Amino acid sequence: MPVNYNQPPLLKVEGLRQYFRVCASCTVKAVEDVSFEIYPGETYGLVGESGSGKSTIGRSIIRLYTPTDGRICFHGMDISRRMNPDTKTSLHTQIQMIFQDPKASLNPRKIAGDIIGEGLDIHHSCKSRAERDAKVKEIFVKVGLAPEHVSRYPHEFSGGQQQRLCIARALIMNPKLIIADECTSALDVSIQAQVVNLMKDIQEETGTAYLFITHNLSIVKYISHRIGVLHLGYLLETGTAEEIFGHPIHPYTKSLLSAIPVPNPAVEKNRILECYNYKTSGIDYSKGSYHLVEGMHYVKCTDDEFYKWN
Amino acid sequence: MAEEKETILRIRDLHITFCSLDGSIHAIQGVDLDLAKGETVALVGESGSGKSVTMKAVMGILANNVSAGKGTIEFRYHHEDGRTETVDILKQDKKWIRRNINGKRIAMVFQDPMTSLDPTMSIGKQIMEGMIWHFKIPKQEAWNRAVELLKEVEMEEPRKRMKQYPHQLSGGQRQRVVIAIALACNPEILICDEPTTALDVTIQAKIIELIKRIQKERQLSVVYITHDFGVVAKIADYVNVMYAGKIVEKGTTDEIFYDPRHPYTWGLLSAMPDLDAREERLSTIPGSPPNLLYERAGDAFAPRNPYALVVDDKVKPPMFRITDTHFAATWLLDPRAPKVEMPKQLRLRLNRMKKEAEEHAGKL
Amino acid sequence: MKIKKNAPLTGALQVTAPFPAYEPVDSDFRLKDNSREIGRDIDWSAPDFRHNGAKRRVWNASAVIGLAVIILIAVMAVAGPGMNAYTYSEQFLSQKNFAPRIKALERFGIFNGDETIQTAAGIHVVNQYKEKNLENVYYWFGSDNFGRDIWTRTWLGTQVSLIIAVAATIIDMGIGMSYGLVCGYFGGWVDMIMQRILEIANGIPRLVVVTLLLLVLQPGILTILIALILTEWIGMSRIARAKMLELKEREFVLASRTLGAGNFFIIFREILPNMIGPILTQVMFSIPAAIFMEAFLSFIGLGVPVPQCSLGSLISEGFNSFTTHPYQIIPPLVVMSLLMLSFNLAADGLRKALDKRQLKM
Repeated sequence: MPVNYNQPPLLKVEGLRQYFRVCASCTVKAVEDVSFEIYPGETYGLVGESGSGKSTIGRSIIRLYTPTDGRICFHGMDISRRMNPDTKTSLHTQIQMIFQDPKASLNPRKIAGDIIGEGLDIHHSCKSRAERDAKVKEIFVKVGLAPEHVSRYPHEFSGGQQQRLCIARALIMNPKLIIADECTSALDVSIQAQVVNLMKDIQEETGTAYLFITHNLSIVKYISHRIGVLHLGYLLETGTAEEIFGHPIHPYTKSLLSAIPVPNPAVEKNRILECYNYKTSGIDYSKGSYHLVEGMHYVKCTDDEFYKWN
Repeated sequence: MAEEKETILRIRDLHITFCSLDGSIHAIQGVDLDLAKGETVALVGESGSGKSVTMKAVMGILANNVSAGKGTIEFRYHHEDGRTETVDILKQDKKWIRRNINGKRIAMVFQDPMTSLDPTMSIGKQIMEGMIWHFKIPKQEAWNRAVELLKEVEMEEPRKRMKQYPHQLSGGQRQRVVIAIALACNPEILICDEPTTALDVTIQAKIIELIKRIQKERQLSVVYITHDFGVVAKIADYVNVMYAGKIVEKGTTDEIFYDPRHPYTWGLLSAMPDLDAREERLSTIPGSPPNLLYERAGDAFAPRNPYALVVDDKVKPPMFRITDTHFAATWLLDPRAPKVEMPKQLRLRLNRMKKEAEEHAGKL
Repeated sequence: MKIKKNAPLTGALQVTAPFPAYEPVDSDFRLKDNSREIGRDIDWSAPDFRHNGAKRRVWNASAVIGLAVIILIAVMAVAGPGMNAYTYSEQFLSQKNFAPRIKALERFGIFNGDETIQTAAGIHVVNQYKEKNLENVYYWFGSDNFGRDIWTRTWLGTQVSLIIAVAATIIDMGIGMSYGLVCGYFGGWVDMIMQRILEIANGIPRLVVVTLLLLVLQPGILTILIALILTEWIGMSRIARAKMLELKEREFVLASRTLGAGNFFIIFREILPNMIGPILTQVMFSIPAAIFMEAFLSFIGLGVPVPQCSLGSLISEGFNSFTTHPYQIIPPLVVMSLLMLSFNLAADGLRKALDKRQLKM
């Protein structure tokens, strides 16, 4: 589904910084000066390895953490500072999150119907119990589960079905933005494909935007319209999926893409990896600004580096 | 090809049943596997397919609730003086296995490097432990050997690392230490149980290169358990695809990747997104892996198989021979079965890959 | 049936083919039209807890025996006093220190009112019923120093002990659990202040608290109840806090927060159901401790006032005549021991059953 980039962005993150004070003398700087936008109906893939800060960004947007610095605007409302009750309600109903481990993100003592209907219960969105039950059953069918299973406990579902429950819980609130935090990493390959297809179908039907956080580069190319590459808390390169995969500029992006195993034995057995070591590369992420390469493709580097790499 | 390659591990008709709180689980249902010297065999499958259990049976480290077992696991190894001996591991008791097999002749690298290492022991001690216990080597010599091993696994500053503890290392470094521990007693077989699944993709690539290099230098035989076909393409000579406790297809890497015959293999290959083509929809295998508590007559894959035949509900398919090295257990290969082609998208992708392979070979 | 530890894998039961052999015919080799059922996610579910063998394992030996004895004693505590005509405070001073005499067992030579007394002149067997010509008077557990029926007093004492113990424990659970949940959930300075208060409360010895209370309030059931409540809540709050710290960072709690759930909703509706197991076990273990505490206080004279009785006060009275009339101390002692043992057994059985279920999940 093509995305209209001429309309105002749904989510605008500007200069987000997230620092955690671990003890008196040391601070973990998880996210450094990250800025990006997500447009309505778009999937923005945030890729990076562990420690790159991608999960932290997702959690800061949904205010599980309070941002140390920077601005996050959703639908024109500032959700990074103190919020009034209306903004809070908007945040909790319009932005939803799907977590990595489906088993851990479902309360083992509640039945599936209650878990999914929780959002409706908290915000009193339904006038009667019957209406709420009907909505829950409708969502069950939408994500491909049998409505008779509403009164089952989470451990009675398989891994893929549990992740569908998590998607259903997010979806029942009709959010404009869903943050998917590594939601396919804990699943088998064939189940990953099912879940990703489901998410795409939902996007077609409802126009929800996704912030797809992952370290799996092959899936991110399939599902995302645009991609951002993170390393050590900095957003190094961003652009459409074709631009990033077809024409990567930053050496880190190149090394990341070259590390993806290709399922072609004759080619793969003899392929040489591109190596990249931040410490010895001479690059300093804190210096540099965003340079436009083409279209929507930007890379963060100094002017010299930009001329060298291009 | 495999002319005079010595087969050092031969598993025949392995059956294992576990008893659990809810009933008995027929986890392994007749597995045949061969491993030749210097070869890398990949065991591919999703969770619940039984790949880890098969290799744990080889190591003799199955859980305590095994209730029945059948079959043979023949391991052919060399003594220090050059004699060879063949033994059936399933007929040995755990004590013998612990003294003669574990670590000494067959070593295992596990999935999670965070929990594979003892957090209260220094790295050096953990590497030396096996050597001292199996071979009674004096401490100083063991220390030197351990430093050599750390150099072999490309660990920087090996002498400094010997005194460090696991929590001071990163994930990739810990996995290198685990590999060093596995190599400490010069085993003949190395079993890697998804060693890179928990690691980042760049570290994963480096660890796989490391394993390849070590294998070539030491002439090791490697069994690599994974669910990632990309990794299989890089490292394996021979591939076994497992589903619900059985091997459904096996063959050389080229045969499996360019000419798969089992619908499950088609499904797995199609489920990987193609990086070079813009797909509208990822084709998937519908449904979930089966719950082995409820065993059904007939093919375990039939409920999820869009190419299922009526006979798939009645009796399990035997292994059909395609070439000397390529076998698949599907009724579609029976002469009486209708001709079924693999999905079109997959066929196009494989043709494209074959062409790329030829170009690549031409370049070399 | 499992293979013995360390034994070789084969050589055990052979695996038999579960399904009969079948020879396929030509007509079997056609494509099955399964396009409709293949779209549906096949029913994977794990076996339902509610109707299978796992439920049976809840009832292990400890739980069964413990619960049975508790129920028996509770029933007797209610019905016992009414089974004969005596009340707990009626004194028949002419009938004091009688040995136990039960009509149905008299003819067997036991419980016939005989007492063995050691005097300076030697060992005598005395039967006060015969001496005083009381053919139709039966004291089933004997009578005490004031001529009161020990049977009635024992069961009434059990009532009092049970009421105090169960009431104290339930209120402790309420206070202690809420305290622990709140300070565990909020953390930070809330936790710090509440924990300091707890440590101060823990530092004051129980006996001091009880003695001070007795100076202020009248001795009685209520006073003991208050004393127990003020001192026993600490253990429960520690357990609740520890469990809360473990559970509050779980992803389902984060998911509820992203949905906008309020703090108290999360504490009591999301997290609490997940800790019912350990809390219930702690409650069951606390009851014998409360019984013993009450008995101890009564024993040293700080308990229920005369003529009311509790197991502890009965033991205390019986202790005074232990060398001359040992039968007086036995009934309350046996009942209290059985009560404490059975609560411990039941709690142990509950813990074992819950552990198994936790493992399964």
